[in-house]
Amino acid sequence: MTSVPHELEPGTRLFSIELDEVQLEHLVRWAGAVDDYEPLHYDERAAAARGLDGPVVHGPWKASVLARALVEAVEADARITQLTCHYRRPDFVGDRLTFQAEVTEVIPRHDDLQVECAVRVIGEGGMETVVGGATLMLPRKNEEHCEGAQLVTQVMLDRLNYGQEAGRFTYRIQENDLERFHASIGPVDELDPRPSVTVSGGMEVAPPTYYMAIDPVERRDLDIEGFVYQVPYPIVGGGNAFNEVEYERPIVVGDLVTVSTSFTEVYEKVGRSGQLLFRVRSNVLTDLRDEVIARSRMGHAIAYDLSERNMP
Amino acid sequence: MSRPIGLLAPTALCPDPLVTAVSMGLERPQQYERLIDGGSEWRWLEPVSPGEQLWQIARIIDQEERTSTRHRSATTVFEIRTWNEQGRLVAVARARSVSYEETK
Repeated sequence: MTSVPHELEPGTRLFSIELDEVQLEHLVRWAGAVDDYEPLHYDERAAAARGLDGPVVHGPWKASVLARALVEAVEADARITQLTCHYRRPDFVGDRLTFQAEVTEVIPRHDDLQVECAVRVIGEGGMETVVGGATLMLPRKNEEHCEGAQLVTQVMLDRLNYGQEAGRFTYRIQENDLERFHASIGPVDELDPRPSVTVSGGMEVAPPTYYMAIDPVERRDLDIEGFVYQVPYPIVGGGNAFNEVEYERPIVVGDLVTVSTSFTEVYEKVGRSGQLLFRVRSNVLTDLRDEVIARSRMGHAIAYDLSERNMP
Repeated sequence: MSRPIGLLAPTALCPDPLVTAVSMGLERPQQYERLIDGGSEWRWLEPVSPGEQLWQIARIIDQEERTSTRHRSATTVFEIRTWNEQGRLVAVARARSVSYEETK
């Protein structure tokens, strides 16, 4: 196995490993390791009773082969932060399998190169039996810090209190707030009077998008992003890049919600409209008992024209 | 004083999320004739070190029914979250269990 090629770009093959024949021993060892004694994976008769050609290879075993190959393909100071595998078709004992990973995107971060990969397993007949993706974080070499990074500066990161809490604000959730939020989304049709508040279990529940209404940055309670207008290049575009939220429980009327905001990612990419500066902030919403209600991530991008420098 | 383990495979803490969820007491529903493992996902959020005590909780986070011209299916998504001694979430693993049958 060789380490990741120095020049990473979309299309770079990280590895391609051929396994001539899946052995029953592979599956028995795996079954023992993970405590999975489903006979379908080692007993030919159990497989035949379900109309299958033989013992079925465990999906997570194939994922683990991919994971191990990724570990061997990168250096020890790298991190593999995510692996997703969809098991599309079964493979059987005796099958020839090929495990592959290929770079699909390289995103320079402040300290790392984020490398997105497509992973797959090819089974008998050339059919893809597993498809998925992985995210690698590779430390950037010193000389790479400035190369290509024209917008992100240490001053910018310090202003954002990058990686640490940038602000903490508490909001009381009241029914009239939810009504205003609902009204701001659009007019209420008399024939379709969508309620601003849903009653569930005796509690008045806010709509799932309400987390955006108590984001300290959007509310201008936390105003530390002014530096983006001091970057010495003209702004030629930009906007909201993405919003994600994961709830532990709904927000309900009467909640006292504390929102802790931190900027967790600042990076740049080449876009069609110019050099894009991305800022990603993460909010953790907690209640009076300090229990987490939700976690959200919001990404914004501003495009700069690097061919023209603003006058000082 | 503990030292980092180094590079770990993302699957290290929970090699088979479906088996882990069932071993922790969750029921794997079978609504239709066949039952398969539809996929797995692993996310590392924080590094872990040897000697650390970790806590895991398994739960069902989603259930979805689908009907097409060829199949009807029910997908159950299991999630195993792992926390470290400081109460920080260090890893999340998910599994998709799919029960299906051909539409008659």
